Amino acid sequence: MANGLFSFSDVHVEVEGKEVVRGASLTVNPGEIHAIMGPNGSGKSSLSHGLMGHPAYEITSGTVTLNGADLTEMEADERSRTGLFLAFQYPLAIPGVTVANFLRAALQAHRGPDADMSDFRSLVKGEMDALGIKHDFATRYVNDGFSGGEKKRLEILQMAVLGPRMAILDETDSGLDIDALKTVAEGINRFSGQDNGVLLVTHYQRLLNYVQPDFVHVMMDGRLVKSGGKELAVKLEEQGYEWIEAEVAEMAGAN
Amino acid sequence: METPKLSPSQLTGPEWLQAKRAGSLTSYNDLPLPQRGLHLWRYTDPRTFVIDSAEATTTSVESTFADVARVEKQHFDDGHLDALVIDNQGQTITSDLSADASAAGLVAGSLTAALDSHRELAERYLYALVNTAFGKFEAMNGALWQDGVFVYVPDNAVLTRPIHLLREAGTNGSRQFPRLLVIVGANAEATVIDEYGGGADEAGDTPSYSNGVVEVFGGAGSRTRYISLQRHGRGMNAYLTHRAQIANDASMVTVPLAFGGATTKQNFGVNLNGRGANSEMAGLLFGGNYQHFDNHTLHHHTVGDTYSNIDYRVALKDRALSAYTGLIRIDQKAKNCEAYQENRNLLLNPGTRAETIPELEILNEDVSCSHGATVGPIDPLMLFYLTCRGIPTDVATRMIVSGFVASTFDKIPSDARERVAAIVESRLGDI
Amino acid sequence: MSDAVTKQKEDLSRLNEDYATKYGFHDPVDYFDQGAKGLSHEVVEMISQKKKEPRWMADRRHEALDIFYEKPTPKWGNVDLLEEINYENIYYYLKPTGQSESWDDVPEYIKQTFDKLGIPQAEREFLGGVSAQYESEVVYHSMRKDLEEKGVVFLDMDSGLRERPDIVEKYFGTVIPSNDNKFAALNTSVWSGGSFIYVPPGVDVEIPLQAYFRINAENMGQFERTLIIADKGSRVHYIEGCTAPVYSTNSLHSAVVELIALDDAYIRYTTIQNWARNIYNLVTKRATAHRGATVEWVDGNIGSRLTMKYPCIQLVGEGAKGEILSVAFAGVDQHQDAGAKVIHAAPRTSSRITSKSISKDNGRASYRGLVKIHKNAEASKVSVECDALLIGTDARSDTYPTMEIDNDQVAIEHEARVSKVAEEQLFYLTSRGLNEDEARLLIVNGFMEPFTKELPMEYAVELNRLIELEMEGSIG
Repeated sequence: MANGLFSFSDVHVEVEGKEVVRGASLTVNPGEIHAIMGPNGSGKSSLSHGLMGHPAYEITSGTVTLNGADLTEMEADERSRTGLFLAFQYPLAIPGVTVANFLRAALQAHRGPDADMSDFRSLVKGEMDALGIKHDFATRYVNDGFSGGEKKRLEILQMAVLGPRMAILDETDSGLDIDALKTVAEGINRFSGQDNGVLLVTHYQRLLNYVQPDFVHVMMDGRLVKSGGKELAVKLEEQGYEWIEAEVAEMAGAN
Repeated sequence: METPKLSPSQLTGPEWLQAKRAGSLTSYNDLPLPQRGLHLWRYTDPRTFVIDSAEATTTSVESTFADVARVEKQHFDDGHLDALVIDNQGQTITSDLSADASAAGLVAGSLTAALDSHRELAERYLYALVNTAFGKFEAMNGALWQDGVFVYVPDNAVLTRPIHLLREAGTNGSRQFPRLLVIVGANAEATVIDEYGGGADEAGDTPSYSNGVVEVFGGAGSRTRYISLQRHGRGMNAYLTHRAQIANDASMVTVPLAFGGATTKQNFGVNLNGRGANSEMAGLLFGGNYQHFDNHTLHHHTVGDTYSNIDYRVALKDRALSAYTGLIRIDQKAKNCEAYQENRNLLLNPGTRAETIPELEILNEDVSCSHGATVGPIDPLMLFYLTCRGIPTDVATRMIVSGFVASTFDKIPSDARERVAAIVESRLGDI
Repeated sequence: MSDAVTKQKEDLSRLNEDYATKYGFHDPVDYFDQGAKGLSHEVVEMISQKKKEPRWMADRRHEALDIFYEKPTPKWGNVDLLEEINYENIYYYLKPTGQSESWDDVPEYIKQTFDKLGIPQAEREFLGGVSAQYESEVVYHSMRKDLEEKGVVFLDMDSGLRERPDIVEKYFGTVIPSNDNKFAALNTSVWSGGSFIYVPPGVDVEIPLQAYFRINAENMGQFERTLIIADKGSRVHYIEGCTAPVYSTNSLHSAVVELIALDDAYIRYTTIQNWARNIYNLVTKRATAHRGATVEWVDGNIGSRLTMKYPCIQLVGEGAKGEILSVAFAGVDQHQDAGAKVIHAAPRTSSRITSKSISKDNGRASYRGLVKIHKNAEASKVSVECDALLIGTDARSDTYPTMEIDNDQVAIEHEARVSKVAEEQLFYLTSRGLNEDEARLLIVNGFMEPFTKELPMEYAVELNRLIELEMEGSIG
């Protein structure tokens, strides 16, 4: 059994026959917040999709475990019910399906078909209030005609309602204005606790001003090439990624 | 192909009507069968709608019909309806009107009776939109309809509750010619639910046959909602032609819903005949098994400053086929019109087949006009998004389909919505 | 309506008046060889005899004529105009002169004609080969030496039949059989001229090959036949242009064009059709794209009285791609019934159709299209976009797309829009100092941009100039 709450080891991901993640490993312990940073095209989003079980992002080797359960062969809905959550960079619109119906169906799926749902309305309302979302949001169609900020808030609302053990947030800060960023960050901080883990996947350090990561990892060319603390994110923000590229090349030479 | 000449034993009705019927009969007998492959007959064999005798054949429908009639009667008794009209195979028409509706002057009941009681209206409007000029099968109905339904909403009368028409076809081997005339006066307001049920239950039964015509008139400033709900048995071959005409500042919402039948060919059209007229169509078709649907819609802008929009949605499973042809026509003198049309086709499994032909005929430049059509399976990314939240694939699929039909559902009055929802739900059952 | 607008509309109505001076001249010619008017098996036999064809071709012609007689006139497009065609009042074969490979040997009057049209100049500047057809026969033909050395065959169709009978017999009529439609049958029975191109495996013909078609005589029927075969992995771009003098009676142009792109080959076929406004242009164009091949039709229709033309691509090999870019400009009394067809008959095929039409004055532009997805064409993609611009209160635009989908694992999208030049756009441009005509022209050019940018520069310039003429109002 793998250590920690959530871990993946030597994960390779292929998209349309092309390998985009070329061996990535990480362990997240309960209560930890990790961040994966990297330049565009480094494989961050592909890794997130692969971990969640996107049909087009095939994990060709390696394993993914959550709380002792092996997720690697599971479908996306099983992974979700096991406690994994992915906040999408570009959430999909589902025309004709209201937010309320969607959340209810998802929560029912997590709790089981016969579970009591009498707390559903108060739960959703409470989380909406906490995220500054108007209640009429519930009657709108999922992400249909939503602004960028509204979509990201809906992702955080889903996370809060479903209460996963492990949340991966893919570029959740992109396209947000400063107020929306603060609200979303508060949502993440409120969610993060002793029992669960958070993995922030981001291109910019901006979100990390509001959500303090315990560990920062750098992804390049499909691999996690460097790990450190919060200070690594700051350095990346100030100096870009070139110095790491040089360092990686040097290490490769030394070997 | 030569089609059998029809010679009914008599042409019923007052003299003017007999003349109309005779003209229709001559047209039917003289007109050749539409040529297979030509426009509007590219996908359906016209021979499906040919009959060998002019007489209507009826069967007992008590048992199949009882449940729905009971539910609607209850709706009426509970005060959800302004009128309930039951049309049994075009033979007997019975009706109940609410006290409010009677007070407002609503007439809803037998068309034959209205030939006497509302002779002027009947003579002026019957055959005004659907007549021998239309085509062979329309002429057939024009000659052979027995009794139909007449709905008249006087000027300024506002009916807040639906007028529900239950049109029940006979079972195996039955043959009927439903006819409906709806006249909504100036500044009046009404909702008509025109529900077609019955017919042979299964595809293997002796087929039943229906050839119907609907004419709807919306007076100046009127607001009309017309819902056509077709839920025939799987052994019915049904042909229906609908035309509506709306005057100045009138608005009309037309909701064609098609679920039943073996081979169904339906043609829904609205002429926008007065400035400020506004027509919306929201169609929904859900086919399964080996069902064959061939649908047309028309928005014809004959006058300027008019607006129309069509949203026609099709969901197919098993080996069902849908052909949809939608035409927007804007005449040369009809300036400053807006017209939109969208046809979406959701294919739920291999073996389904969708044809879509969204047409535009625009004869002047002062227009804003567009149409769009899509055909494809459920978007796998949508499905992934939902399953990512723990929702099992089958549930997620049903949610997406429910979402797909939701915008049409919003246009269906609540008393019919339940029944439509039940039909859709049963279709979704084995997906 | 303001005075300025009224004036502008009046000005617009006088458009294209210079066609007569630019292309509308005609040469007084004593024909080298001239068949009698009218259509018969005798005429067909005469054409075949003069060309000293193999018997199989003569048989094919006779068979096609019978099919032509049997087939009814189409009941769509423009029925009235089609019914007006008097097949007995048409010359089916006119031979002006023999063929030359040197421009100097071409008779002076023909040389002047093509000089006026800028043909030899264009050849020097940017073409890999040129063919010029005058009435029924190709009068001038040349191709660059380096292409010849690579084995590229670019001949007029008659020479093609003589010199490469093996290839011609193998492919002739395989994409468009005689019984496909009435006009394909007519062409097959009396065809003369056209181009024959064969590109050997792997050869990239980097610069375009061009043919220029000219009708000079009154009551002339031009029935050229073109066959292009791009062998495996080869690439070729072919361009055709057409003009004719303005006569009071109508002439008929009815071509058949067959393209075959074998595995991984690429063919682009560009047409700038600027026939005079008394020409009936009834053309059948179809391509077959095999595994991994790409075919592109770039089809511009500016002239003619009536055009009925729907370039087609049959995607028969896995992964084949098709693209059809069609532009139609319908001015006074014109009907452009143009469109596109794509048949997906193999998995993972994709196609894109873009149609742009402008209807002006009482012109009518119709888009007529067919997209068909066969049962075995899973994972195929189709996108169709039709944009129509209307200028003037009598202008008409029709859209008749048909989509037949027999596979559920496909993505089909169709969109169409009809609009006039937006007042806001005009206002925005005029507020920056342009007059209304300039602004309108700019908007129309912008509307055509997706098409013009696909043309070789010389053609783009020419097309813009044509449109400018069409749009010309109070400028200057």
